[in-house]
Amino acid sequence: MKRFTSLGVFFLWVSVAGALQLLLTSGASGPGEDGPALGRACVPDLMTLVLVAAVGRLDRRDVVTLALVTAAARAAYTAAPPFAVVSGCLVAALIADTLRRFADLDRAWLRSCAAGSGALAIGTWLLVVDLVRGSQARVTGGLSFGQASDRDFALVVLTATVTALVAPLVWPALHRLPGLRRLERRAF
Amino acid sequence: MATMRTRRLGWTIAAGAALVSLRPVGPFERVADLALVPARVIGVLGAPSLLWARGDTGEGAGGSPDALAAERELSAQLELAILRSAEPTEVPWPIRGVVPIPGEVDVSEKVNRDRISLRVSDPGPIERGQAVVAGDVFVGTVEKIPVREPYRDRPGLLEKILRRMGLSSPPVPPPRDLVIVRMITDPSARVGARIQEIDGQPECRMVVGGLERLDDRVWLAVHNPESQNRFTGRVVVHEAAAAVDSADSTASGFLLGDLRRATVAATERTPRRQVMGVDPLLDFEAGLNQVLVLTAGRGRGTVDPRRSDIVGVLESTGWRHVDMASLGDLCPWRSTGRLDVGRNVGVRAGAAVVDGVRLVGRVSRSDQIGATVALLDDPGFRVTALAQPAGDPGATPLVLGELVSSGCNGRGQVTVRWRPASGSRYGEWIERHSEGGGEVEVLLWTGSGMRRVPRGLLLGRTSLQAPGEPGGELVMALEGSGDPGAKLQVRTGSSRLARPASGSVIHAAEGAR
Repeated sequence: MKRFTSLGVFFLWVSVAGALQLLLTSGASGPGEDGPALGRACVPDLMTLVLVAAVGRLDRRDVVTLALVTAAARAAYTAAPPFAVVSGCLVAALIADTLRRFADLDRAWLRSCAAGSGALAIGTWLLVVDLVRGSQARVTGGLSFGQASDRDFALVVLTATVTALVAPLVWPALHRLPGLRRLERRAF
Repeated sequence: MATMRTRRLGWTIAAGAALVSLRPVGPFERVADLALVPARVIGVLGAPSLLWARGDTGEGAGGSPDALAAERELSAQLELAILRSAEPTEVPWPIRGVVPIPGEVDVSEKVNRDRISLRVSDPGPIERGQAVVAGDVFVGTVEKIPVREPYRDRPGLLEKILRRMGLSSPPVPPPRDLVIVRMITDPSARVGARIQEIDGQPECRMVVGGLERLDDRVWLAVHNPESQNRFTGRVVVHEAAAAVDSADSTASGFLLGDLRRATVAATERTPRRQVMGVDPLLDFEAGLNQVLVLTAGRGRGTVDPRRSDIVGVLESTGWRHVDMASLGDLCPWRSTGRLDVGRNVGVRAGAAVVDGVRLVGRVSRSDQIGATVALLDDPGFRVTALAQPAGDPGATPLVLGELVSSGCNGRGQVTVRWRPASGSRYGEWIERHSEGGGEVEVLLWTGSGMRRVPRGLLLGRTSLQAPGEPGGELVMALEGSGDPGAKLQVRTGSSRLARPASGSVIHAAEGAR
């Protein structure tokens, strides 16, 4: 039961990160034709950051659960299909977990690497899903909104870079998020 | 060991979810939506994102009450102009023994682009095979009246189980005012046609139907021309009533387009050849709004719409006040928002969301407790549009066809791309209204053919000019577009016409589906 409560607290933290990210995203802008999109892309992927930090801190057996909880929270703030969000979050979490297999995420560059690659994976995946669904809708005549283009990959890379740069700065705070003690890793 | 199992499970779930996200499966998506309902409640935390919305005027929906009233009146005048534009001006009209039944294009069937569905004011006298025209142009013939087709619903065992679980629904019976039209662009469509004798050149008869696709344009295909020596001329429908017992004969004299010839270069498979085709006078894909079905009988030979017949776009039933729960999207290439109501009150995918009469966006996905809205500045947002001169609201509007949003520019204006389709008469229209300047100040409105989006919602004001080169593209920045932070309304219920066409009475059963 306490473990379940801790997962609930984690869900709350991820949701707060998502709300903050949404606040920054919706207010971001920039000059020029592509200014607004570039401004939005400069906001770090805070939800992925919380997920990766949790994977680095908590029990490795909970990786999948943490990813699913993050996906549930993320689905409330994006128009991306829920299954795409689930697979993206799982891949981001598993990448961080793979890094953790070889080295503890205790160095700044490792944290940057884990957070950046996680944000890159989830962003690229959501972009691919948008592209595939858009092209399918054009053929079948189905209802489709939004039209990602190949050059939007630059936005994904920008977000991943910003996330990687921000990761070492906020990691100490994310590493001490209260209410998650029941999920912490057990002794080696 | 347990960690390895977890990792394997994680990759398996990720692969499965990836497959389902690329090839959506209806019941799975519904299950996911149901499962995520509790999680989506937490979406209220995103409310601070509304701080950035432009809803700072405090004047309610659509700006000030005066501005809203003026825009509603403009929308009504646009509707009147569209209804009037459906009647011929060049072809002799009215035709004796022909009663025109007006119909609005409901949803263009994108899967089969050679069919359109119409909502007609009075389906009673309509029969299969009757001709359908838009202004002076022949469009096609009535193919099907779904309500008269046998209706069967025999669910299998799996379907019965899914329905019992609420994961599937029985098919909805077709509305009684729905008519399916097969357009002349269909490969199997044929109509007799001729070019009249001009300047000593003899009359030339031919058969027209289907499409002739060239590299940079699309023509109507010409079959069995009487002479190969006619190179130009206006092609009209010609079905002699005495010789052919065809409903097309009532459409004799209606226009098809201009005869053209072109030489197609040789390819590896085909030799160099001469192609004959009819350059259409309509954009059949996205340029149809209001049409007339020519029925046989006695009665009024004209539609003659009046201002008092028009029901305002917001006065029809099926609108519901809503609030935006959050604004923005975690994907930087998208621009979306989330409504605080969803399927629970009948909000469905495709529904229009408006601020006064200004279109804010369309619902892209709805679940039990909320709905995601693709905003007008969501890159790739597509909308069929009409242009009306800002200084002459009674003028016949220009059918623009499909506009595609490019997002917001640095000044906060929504930019849209427009590529005139083959058959668009934009050049003449701009010349007529620009007074020699080559540029017209216009209001852009939604056109027909989008599910759950009525005709006559304001997109914004812009300056319209012809694209620099044929087949080119024009980028327009819209001013005065809908404000997602204002008091909003969403269209609920069915895709039924938002308003009756030409004073007919088809209000009933709104939302019954």
